[in-house]
Amino acid sequence: MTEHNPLSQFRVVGTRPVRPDGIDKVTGKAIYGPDHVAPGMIHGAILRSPHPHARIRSIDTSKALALPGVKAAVTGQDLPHLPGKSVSLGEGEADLANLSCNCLARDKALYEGHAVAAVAATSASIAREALKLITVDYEVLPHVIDLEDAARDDAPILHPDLRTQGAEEPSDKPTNIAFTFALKQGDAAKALDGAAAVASGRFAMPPVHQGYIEPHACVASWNADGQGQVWCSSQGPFMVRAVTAGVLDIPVSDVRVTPLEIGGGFGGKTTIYLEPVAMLLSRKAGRPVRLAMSREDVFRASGPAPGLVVDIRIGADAEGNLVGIEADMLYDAGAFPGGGTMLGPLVLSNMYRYPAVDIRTRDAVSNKPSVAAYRAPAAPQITFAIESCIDDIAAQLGMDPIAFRLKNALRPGDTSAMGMECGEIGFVECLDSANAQDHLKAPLGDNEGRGIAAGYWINIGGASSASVSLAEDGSVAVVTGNPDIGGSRASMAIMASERLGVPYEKVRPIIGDTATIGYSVVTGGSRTTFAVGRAVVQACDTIIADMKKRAANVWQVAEDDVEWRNGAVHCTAKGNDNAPMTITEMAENANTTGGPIAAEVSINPHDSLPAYGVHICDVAVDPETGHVSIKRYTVVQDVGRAIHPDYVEGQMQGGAVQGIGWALNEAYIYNSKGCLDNPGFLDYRMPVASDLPMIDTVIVEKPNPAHPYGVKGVGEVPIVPPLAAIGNAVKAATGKRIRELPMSPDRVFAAINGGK
Amino acid sequence: MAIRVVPLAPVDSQFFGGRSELVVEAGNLFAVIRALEAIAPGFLKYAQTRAWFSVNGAIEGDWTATIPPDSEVIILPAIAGG
Repeated sequence: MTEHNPLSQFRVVGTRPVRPDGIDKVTGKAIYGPDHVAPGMIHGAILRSPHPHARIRSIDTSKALALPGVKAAVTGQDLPHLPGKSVSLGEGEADLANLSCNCLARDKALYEGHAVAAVAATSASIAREALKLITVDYEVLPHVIDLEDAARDDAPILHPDLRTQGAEEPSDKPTNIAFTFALKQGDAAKALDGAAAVASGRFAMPPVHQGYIEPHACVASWNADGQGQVWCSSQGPFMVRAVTAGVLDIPVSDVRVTPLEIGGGFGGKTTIYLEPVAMLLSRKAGRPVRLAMSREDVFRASGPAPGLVVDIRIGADAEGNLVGIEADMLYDAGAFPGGGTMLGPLVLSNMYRYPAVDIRTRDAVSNKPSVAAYRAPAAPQITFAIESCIDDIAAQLGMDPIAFRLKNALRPGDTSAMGMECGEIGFVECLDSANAQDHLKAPLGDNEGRGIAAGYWINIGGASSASVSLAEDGSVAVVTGNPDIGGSRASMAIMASERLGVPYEKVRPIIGDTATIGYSVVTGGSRTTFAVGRAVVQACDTIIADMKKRAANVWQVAEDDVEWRNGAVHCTAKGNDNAPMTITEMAENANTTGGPIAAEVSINPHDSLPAYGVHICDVAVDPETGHVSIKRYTVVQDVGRAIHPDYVEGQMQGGAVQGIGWALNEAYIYNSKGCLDNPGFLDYRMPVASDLPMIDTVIVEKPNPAHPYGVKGVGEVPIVPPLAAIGNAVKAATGKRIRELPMSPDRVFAAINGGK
Repeated sequence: MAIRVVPLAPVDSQFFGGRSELVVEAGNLFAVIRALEAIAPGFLKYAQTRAWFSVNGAIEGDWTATIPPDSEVIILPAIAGG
């Protein structure tokens, strides 16, 4: 079941035309990262550490280099040493020293799978053989995998020079705590001590992977003139350019990045692992070099979402008004700092009104892969704890869980605890819509339970560029610099079609390389249809203004006497009977009215609006095995405006499914040696279609005034509520609150049977 | 024009000795950041790559935009999405 009742003032926006990338994908013609071939290309391979923590005393590549067919070998010592250097990525910065060390370990291997050396050879099999000939002398060091162990004072130290940023009392003692942040408003402890209902507990969840189907891969070519080219799939070619140039310490202008089709990213491709290594190999070999991860490499060496341990306490008065919240969060950063520490408080303070707040958040490094973004980074984890407690408080007070949320939800005009003013947010509308769903009235069977949970994600804007140009026949090329991970080509084409009054089929959306279009930050943060779409619409408006000016010149009237409607210029001057000129006619006559008709627009909007969602979930719990199956699932979400509802529903469904996997199945399992025991999809169990019912979607549209068509952003928030929605459903079915993920059969069985 | 500046962690301790609030004379974010750079050298570089600025509750990306008198500027760590 899908529910979408569009506000029908638009011709194309809100319709469901055929996607522009569909044919290439279903016929196998789409070129993904591992598919690209460059003339003369050779094959790279990476040697990875078998130890989770080891000092690298030496690396000897001489035997590998002597193997016939081997053209180059590199180690971390071939990369420039860049202490303290960083590069701006537009939506944050990257620490180049850490990025460099993550691409190729310099002095220490910090996790099992950490890259320590690489070779390039004339065939992939020779490259793999060459890896066996590299000798690495390791001094194995004590390791720490468990997050809470990593945060202890006596834990093995990963980075001797790491000091806690943000600490109230700075210390010069080495630590694994990379960052801390505290936010206090009012007296939360006093408020909670006097509350009529309080829910509390320690919630814990391990890292989980994004599970994109396409592994990381690239081809790099470093030419003799110093110019480098990289072909890769990523969520941002400009990000790849910036960090590749930064890690290699070369000018940005010496690197050109061409984006290939992307086979899933979900945040995990907002960073790099291979590109500088492939560039180095290419420079040494004098040939283009391909590097591609295997599935095992992806699990062992690319960034998952951080795990979290949080102690939380939330309370309400007898009337159902929240009175305060305390939370102490510890996020897992993996091998390098950056566990999304600030995002936990952001999420926590942007859902409900809390008169008193006492929050502390930290992140700790550990001997696991460095974490990366994953759809609404850090939000699903803390929301699992918040929404579990909110449900428990509602139950204690005898209130309906949606009514309790409605009573406390942030509304337009409110200010969050972090000082952010709520604009035209749609949290209340989502709760109202959820409350009206038939799903809530459906009967439940034995051992079945129903849960609901809400979620928030900030959605961002940021630097965005787009060009729009008319071909001689009036067809339209729309070029952006943002890879299409969720339907952005279709949405850009729809918005251009709507604005210009041309058929959707006459608009060709293209993703340009870093040399063909102005700068854009990554496709991420649910920003692309909002921010890049706004650039597309502004570029359309620029060429419309140009065409009006040209028509005025043709007709010898004032520009004010020319109007643009329905894809044509119209003369409105009194007594003038000039026939309208269509966009096709304007394009055909472009060279006699001033030349080509085209515009490029670069903008940097920050007036995006957050997304809210409410999920309803029915589960059945098998009391004999503890297995939880999803029986019915409904996603309600405010999207601002759905430009292409198929894609919007797909994002809502996909996010919910990834959240379901996070809740029920997924976890990194490390053995006592600090090595990952489940680096493949057979043992790292993501949900498949046969595990799931149809995910029903309800699109709520409360338009964003800052976007020409009201877009807010869609892709991230649907992964936020499922963890708690399922937890609340399991509690409804069993009476047991499970605070640790995944809710795997053994854990659920133990909860049902009192820990046995 | 007096502007109230609220630096959140880690900016408060890293640059301003743990102060939770500063008052500077400024008419836009460039002037705010110049004033803060004068107090804490190095802040400008941090601001360019690692900070977001909220002016009266709304994120402002244009440092040239005029800030009304008596505004509140909150310094937040830059936030990335997935």
